[in-house]
Amino acid sequence: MIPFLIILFSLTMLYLGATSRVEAYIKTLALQGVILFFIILLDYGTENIPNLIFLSAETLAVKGVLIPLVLMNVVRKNDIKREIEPNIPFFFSLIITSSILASGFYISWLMSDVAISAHPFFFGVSISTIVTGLFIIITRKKIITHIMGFMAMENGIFLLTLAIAKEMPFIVAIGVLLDIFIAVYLLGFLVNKIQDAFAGVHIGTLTKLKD
Amino acid sequence: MTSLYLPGIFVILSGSFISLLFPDKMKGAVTSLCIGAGAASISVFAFNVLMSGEPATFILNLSEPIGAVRITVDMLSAFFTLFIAIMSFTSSLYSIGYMKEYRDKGKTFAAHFFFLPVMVSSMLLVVAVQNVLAFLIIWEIMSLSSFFLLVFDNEKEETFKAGINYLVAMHIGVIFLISGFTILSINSGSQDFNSFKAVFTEHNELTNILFIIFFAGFGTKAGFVPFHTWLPRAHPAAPSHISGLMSGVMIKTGIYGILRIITLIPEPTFFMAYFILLISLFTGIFGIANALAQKNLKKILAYSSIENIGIIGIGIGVGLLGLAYNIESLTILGFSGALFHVVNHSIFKSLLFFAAGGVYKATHILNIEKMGGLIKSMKFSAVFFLFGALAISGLPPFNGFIGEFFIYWSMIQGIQGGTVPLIVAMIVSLAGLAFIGAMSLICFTNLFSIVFLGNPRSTFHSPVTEVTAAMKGAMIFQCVLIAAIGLAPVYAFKIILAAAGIFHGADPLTEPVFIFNTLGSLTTGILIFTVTSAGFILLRFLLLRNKNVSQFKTWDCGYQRGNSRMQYSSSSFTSPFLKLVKPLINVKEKIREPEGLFPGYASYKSSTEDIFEAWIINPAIKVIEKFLNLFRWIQNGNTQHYILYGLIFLILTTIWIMAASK
Amino acid sequence: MIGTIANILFIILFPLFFTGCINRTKSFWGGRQGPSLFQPYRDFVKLLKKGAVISRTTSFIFAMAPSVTAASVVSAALFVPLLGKTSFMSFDIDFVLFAYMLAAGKFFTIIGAMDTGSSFEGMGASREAAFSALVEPGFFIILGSLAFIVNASSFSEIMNLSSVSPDLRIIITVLSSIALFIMLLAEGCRVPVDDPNTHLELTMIHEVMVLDNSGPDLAFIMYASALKMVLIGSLIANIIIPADLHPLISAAAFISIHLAIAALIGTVESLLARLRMTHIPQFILYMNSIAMVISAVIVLYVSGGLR
Repeated sequence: MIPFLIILFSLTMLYLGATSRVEAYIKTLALQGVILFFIILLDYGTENIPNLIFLSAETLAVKGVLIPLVLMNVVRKNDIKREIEPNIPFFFSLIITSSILASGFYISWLMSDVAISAHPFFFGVSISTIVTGLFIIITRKKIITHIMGFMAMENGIFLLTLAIAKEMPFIVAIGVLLDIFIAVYLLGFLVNKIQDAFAGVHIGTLTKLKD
Repeated sequence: MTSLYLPGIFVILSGSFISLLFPDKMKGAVTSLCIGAGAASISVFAFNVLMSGEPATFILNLSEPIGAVRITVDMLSAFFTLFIAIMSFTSSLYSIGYMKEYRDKGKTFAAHFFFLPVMVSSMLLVVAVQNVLAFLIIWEIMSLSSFFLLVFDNEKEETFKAGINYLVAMHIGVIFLISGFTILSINSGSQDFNSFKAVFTEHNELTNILFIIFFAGFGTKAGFVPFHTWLPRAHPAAPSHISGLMSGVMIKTGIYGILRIITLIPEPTFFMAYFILLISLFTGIFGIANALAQKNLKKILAYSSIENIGIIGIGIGVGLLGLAYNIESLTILGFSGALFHVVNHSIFKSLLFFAAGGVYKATHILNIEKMGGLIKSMKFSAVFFLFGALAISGLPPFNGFIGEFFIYWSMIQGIQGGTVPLIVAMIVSLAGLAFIGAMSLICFTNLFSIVFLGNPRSTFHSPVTEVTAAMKGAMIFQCVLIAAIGLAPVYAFKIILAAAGIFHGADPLTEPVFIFNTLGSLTTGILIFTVTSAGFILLRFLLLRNKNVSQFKTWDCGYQRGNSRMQYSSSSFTSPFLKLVKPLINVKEKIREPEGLFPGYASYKSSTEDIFEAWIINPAIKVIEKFLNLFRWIQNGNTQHYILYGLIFLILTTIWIMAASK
Repeated sequence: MIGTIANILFIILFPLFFTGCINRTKSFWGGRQGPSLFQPYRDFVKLLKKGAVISRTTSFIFAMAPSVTAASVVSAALFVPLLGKTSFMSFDIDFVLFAYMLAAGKFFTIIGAMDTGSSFEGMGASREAAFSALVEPGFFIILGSLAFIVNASSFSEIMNLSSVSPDLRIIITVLSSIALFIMLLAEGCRVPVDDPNTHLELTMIHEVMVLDNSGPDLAFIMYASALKMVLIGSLIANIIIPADLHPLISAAAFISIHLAIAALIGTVESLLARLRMTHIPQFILYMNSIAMVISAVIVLYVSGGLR
């Protein structure tokens, strides 16, 4: 069941590489949060029940509900509908995202005969997710999609921590802290009303800052 | 039976001299007669060799430094000899009709028909000699004679330029061949090909490098990327029967060279196999993507030849993987697929070039954007072209499908039997071959529809007429072959199996029953398709027999002022797809946009150029030119200076000899 | 014997019923009662009885094309496992012949459309050619991967996933079904690839290629496209249905999966909008990416890396 969920996760990353509707990005991020929630539930085992409850609740609450709500609010307020066609057309963007995913699978294959209790499959997919998130940041033009690319990267980092959770349980806690940090940051964003100045802005205008 | 071979070649060669004796009107027929007679006897001989399984050897003792020349027609050579002979005859038959019009213009044919049998016999010999110097000499004769045949229309500057481009490319290839053969000869001490086997066994580390050198040399002749740049220039420039001969037969001698080197290497390495596989995949995709972007009828066919060479290379690569990983079914299926495609491509590509020649004769243009509606007045050519287009897209029930079927089969065998790198390579090649096949479908539906269907997009200078009987005869023969191999592949496969068995090494090949069984079911499936099509056509005829069938104009949404320029053009047809493969094609556009509320003149012009030419070859040529310009001062036209150079050379040599002898 | 007769009846009768189900589902979502489930049969017979109007620009190619297309789809049906997981013929890698026979039909459809010399039909033909080129690699990757995991290569054997371990089987089934469903939408020319109801320039792919056909030609084309959808649906159904069921139960499951697919197509058509034409290649490429994921997962599973 768990490999199936990981595959669904990787398919959502492919979708992010191909789509241009900003609301679709947000819904996909929410879906990723839900998938991660189920992965934690199924994978954690029964050792430390309070920890498990905390982790899964936090994942669902922050990744699956809170952050998508905040982003949706920003997007609706600023009436942002679609991403501008980036430098690399969406078709090639999908091809590149698929190749990143393929290299992720290759990394999993390289790790496949390692005997420790890490999960090679998680590892490969999470690395490809992180690189895809970076790719989205590099190629898209609106700042709001940069934020969402960063969120996807952060989901990938979280998945990476889950990959080695059995070996180093401490690191999962660090991943959760990262999550909460991002949530606070975005909340600050919303509350302080900076979004009106930033959200719909084209990345080109930021280059004026270069002095 | 062996006595049929050398006399056959002699008869063909004599055709060159005999044709000089006859007037222009009969040169074509006489040459065809000689080539036909020679080809008939040679084909019988080759067929016998293949069926009996025993190679035939002749030894000619020539003076040093060539030495004893061994001509061995083994299975591989016999296979190539067979189809070279038959397709050369078809080509010369076609030329009887094609050249008529040039005669009316007042061109002389003496040189052309002199070199045609020379080229044919050199091609026949080059696939059989086993001696290095003889091979290189005959290779050179083949390149030169084809050059002279190519520049038949040499009043046009473009034709001449294309010819020179071709000649230079061939000689660059020959440099690689000479270096490769030299290394082998020095290490083995003899000039005979058989002695090279020992070299490859002893010097294992040289195998990869030598293979790359030979691949560069033979690949230039065959048309693999990045050595292909001469092909799209040369084939449109040549007269159509020469284009068909070059594209259908001559580039296969490059493939023969690669295959011959493979037979000399007892243990192919993984590197060789993956190298050929990767280059061929790229060649196939690049070739057909560029074919989609062209507007010149023959250039499209030339780039499509590059694509098909890629497919043949994929087959060879998979066969080599079978040899390297030691999987017998992979070897047999891979090489059989490659050899099948070699024969199939020679038949349908020459058919397509011949049909294109008929179109050119009728309309005097090669720009497909100006054609259209030719099916109304050229029904036969349209049917021949349709046969060729269906065959080259690899569709059942014709022969192109059989070759691709074998290559797919070999890939599935590889997936099932191998290690992970092999599986991944096979899956990637599977996707690649499927993609190449789908792209060639786009290309040839485009070509056939724009040229023959719809309405004419411009007015032609003279009324469009159908081709002559000789041209029809040649094309009918090729269509029959296409249908025969497609509908009854078992017989063709028996011949191919004999040739493919040579790659299996020393062990005798067990009769691959599973292949024959599957071929039988495949044939049944294809026959059912053909019969069902005929059945549906009959059903339609019966249904419409007593009904009212009226004629009206094409539905035009109520627009009253439509003209034939409003049809879809070739650029429009291919543009949705070309947008997706933009990195491979360099499209230059010149647009003059419509302005104002009632626009006047507006124009759009697009042209494509080969990215290898633009980014690699042309800059390299510029650099070389700049460097050589530094030495320009040596050639200043003053005769006295040249005599001075000669004197300086003599003095220096004398000083050197005196110093050396001390 | 009974199986063969049942399959023949299935091929002849079911495709038009499938179309009727799709239309009925769309009417349901539109709040209407909609045409009867058997309406496509009546349309088909009506068309067969009519005469034809042939355009003056066309030649014998236009006359031949619909017949050859219909014949190609019917011949391709020989190899697909139908009711009870039996097919008429099967041999090694028959899926290649299947794919290429459908391609031969497509070739004739395209040249038949270009024969009319109309820019509408040319538009449809060029888009159809481009999009079908994108579908092919994915299809072959999926079948190649299945051939690997099952260690056989004919359609009827590939669809027999009983030798595969259960967790891998779920993944393969779900992913292949999604990929093949996208292929069905693309080849059958349904939303979000093409809108079969309109003939506007924005949505012209398949419907517009048959603008000038009439009478028996149009009937053949209707039947051929319906049969093509049913064949791809059969591939999906065969992957889902396990191999060791009793033939009657298997046949019933087969037909119910087809009805479910018809309902799903109707729902997708009613709820989704058609994609912008420039976004359709991404949609079809998505199918290729899923195929790549399938093959990667299978390779990983075999090397033990799927934990």
